[in-house]
Amino acid sequence: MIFNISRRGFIAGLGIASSSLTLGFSAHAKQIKTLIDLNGYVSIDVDNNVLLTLPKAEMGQGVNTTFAMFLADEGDLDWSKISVQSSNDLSLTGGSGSISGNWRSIRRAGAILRVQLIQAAAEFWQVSADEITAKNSILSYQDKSITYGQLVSKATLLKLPKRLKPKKWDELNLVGKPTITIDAQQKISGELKYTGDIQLDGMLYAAIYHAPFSLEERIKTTYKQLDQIEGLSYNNQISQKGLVIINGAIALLAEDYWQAQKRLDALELHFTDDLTVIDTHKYAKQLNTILKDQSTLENVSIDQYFEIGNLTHSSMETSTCTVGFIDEKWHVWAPTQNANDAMRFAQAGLIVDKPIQLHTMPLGGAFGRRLVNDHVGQAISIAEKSLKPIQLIWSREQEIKHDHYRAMIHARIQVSVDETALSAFKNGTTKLNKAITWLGSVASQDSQLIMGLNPIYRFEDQSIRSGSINTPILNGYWRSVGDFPSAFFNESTMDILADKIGMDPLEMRLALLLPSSKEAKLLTLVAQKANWGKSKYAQGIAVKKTFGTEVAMVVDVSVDNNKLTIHKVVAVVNIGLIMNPSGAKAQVEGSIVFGLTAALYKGVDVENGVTTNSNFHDQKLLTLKQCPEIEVYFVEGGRSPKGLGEAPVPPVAPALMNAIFAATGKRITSLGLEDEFIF
Amino acid sequence: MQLKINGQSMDVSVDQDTPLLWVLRDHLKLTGTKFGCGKGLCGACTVLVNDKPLRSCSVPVSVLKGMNITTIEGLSGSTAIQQAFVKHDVPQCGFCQSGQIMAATALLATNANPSENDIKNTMTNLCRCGTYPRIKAAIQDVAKKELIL
Repeated sequence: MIFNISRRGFIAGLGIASSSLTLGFSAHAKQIKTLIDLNGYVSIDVDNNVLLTLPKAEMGQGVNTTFAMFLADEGDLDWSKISVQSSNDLSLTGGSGSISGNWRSIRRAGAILRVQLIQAAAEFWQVSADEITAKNSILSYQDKSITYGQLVSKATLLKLPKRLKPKKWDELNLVGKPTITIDAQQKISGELKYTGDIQLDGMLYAAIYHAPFSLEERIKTTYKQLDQIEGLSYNNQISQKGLVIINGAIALLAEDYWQAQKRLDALELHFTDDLTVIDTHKYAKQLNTILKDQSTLENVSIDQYFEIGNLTHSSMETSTCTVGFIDEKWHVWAPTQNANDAMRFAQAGLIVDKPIQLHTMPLGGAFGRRLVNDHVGQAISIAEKSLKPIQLIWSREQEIKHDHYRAMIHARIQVSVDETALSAFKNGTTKLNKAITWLGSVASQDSQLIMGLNPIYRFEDQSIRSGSINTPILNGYWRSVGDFPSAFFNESTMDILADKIGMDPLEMRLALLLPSSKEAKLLTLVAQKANWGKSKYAQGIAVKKTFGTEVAMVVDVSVDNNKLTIHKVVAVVNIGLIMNPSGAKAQVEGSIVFGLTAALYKGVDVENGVTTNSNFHDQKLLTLKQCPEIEVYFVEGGRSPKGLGEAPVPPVAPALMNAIFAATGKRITSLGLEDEFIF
Repeated sequence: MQLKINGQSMDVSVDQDTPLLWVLRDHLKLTGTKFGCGKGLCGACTVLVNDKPLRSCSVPVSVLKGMNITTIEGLSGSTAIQQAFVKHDVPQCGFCQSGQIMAATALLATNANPSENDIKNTMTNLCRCGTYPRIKAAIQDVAKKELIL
């Protein structure tokens, strides 16, 4: 039996905005599809299977698992029967806000589910709802029982409950306990389908080659080169050799990806424009000149320059998109952190306006890269021009060369502390004189450039000024955004100051913080956990609040000649309420590995408009062998969970550099240690 | 060309220089093996050839004639190491995991009780999500069990 449920009724009944989670029941798997355009929903079929469709992207950060835990707990669902997918209309997933912004909605959905089904069972057995118990997707009354699935059709006919009482925190079985990633089994057996695993009949594979970064419009540069190849132009369809020109790039289609890439590489495309001005070394000089030109404080005690280059996202899955024209509609399968943006790119990629159906896929990593959906626009363009179903796969080289990098950023930090203030400070006052920060970045519109730069430490007078230069290099959001450079600049400076005034870095920080601050508490705790001052290795410390979550960290290192060994990282995280201790710990571990990669390996260089780095041999990632022991401690408090996917990244680099200073007396002010150490 | 994959003979007609990875993925539709770099640097494409780990993106299929090729699809899904990866909640995005499982399978096949250094020197596959501590713990867990048995 099939029941049609008014979606509008459900939205109204739930009394929540249409952009948040919506509940729908479906009696048949077929019917699920009719509801799929909703932003997020839950459905149960007659076989008791639960499908949770989330308005957020799963890219390894674990939201699918955490949301399913809430749903299962509130709904008394059988965990083994739940599967999770992303909505094709998923909203922007970033800023560590998925759980903190949506956990109440999902609890509510689970509670509605439970109440509706209990009510349905009560009517079925003609008893009071109070006498029904629900557990593991089964409803029981005395010795009778019935599955949720068997009652779905009845439950859908009931009015939504007017009042809902969520369970008490200690009544939740899964939430708060370590829970294995919901699709772990699919991931370790190769069964989970990513975008590149979607195979369409008659599909061709496309390799892509982008034009260099150019001060002119990139498309012009492409034309100039491509006019020399078979007289192709933007309006031509596909050439005999399988070439297609799209905006700013050329693609080549073949029966398999290998053939496509091989033939494309064989073209040996050379762009003739003079692009010598597009050069990161030159930009670095310009940024330093800007910083040098700023005024110098009187009685300056510290005047320090810092540098961070263009950092890559380097998700393991390169930009991939599968496209087919099926039943008068473009179907687009893609990894994305933002469905709206993917749709915008898809529409812009078409010459002839036609309906588009986006299918959001599990992401093979993202870290901010898939907030931009250039791959979607390109793939639909290639499919439209070639009149074939296609799969676009970026080579790793193109992925590194045409990333939207975390913008290179330089800083100059000055601290002025006079003798009077210093002796007063040492005698117990809690303020120092003056700090000033100048910033320069290549990203002209990096609104989050100075995110988190406001020092938490008490100086009498502190100010931040910033400026930027325009370049055609593409920049974008990158895990932990502006808090990453901010932490490196500030927390390194604090250690420089501690050294200058002859204080222990921890002691000085605590003296400059309000004792009641979260940062002071976390620093004290991390010092205790890491045996601060008593380790056999050199130690460095740092603390940072990112997207509302404070993290303090101690790194233990040793340096033998120029061999750097990172022995241990201890992190203490103020998490609010902990949802999934296993997933939470995984995010901290992963963030530390991510932060170490950024600290150890320089960003990419651009010369003549082209990124010179090309693959993992010259744009390295931390390996298992280099990965230190990681200890994680959570401090709970408050009434809601906090975001965790990014916050542990920023303290890593300064804590590491502070440890290296402790070991060697050498102060690292520019990220990337390949020239100084082996590791 | 005839290949022996997961115990089955399979016929493919591709250029001799086509790397095994693309034969698996694009021709045989065995998509559990992933593409990460194309240069044998990241290990996402690791398969077993005669029980030894091989980065399939960088080996022409023609040299593998007659050899026993095992892909992630050839494992049961519940081998000791696969169970340990689940138990230790290893995967995050999951994209590198097939390769990690194959590399760990090869390690344990030749060295039932690998030391920490053995693991460090053998498990060279990259993981951007940073699942390394858990990969190590999962392998050590299996190694410990083998010892007891």
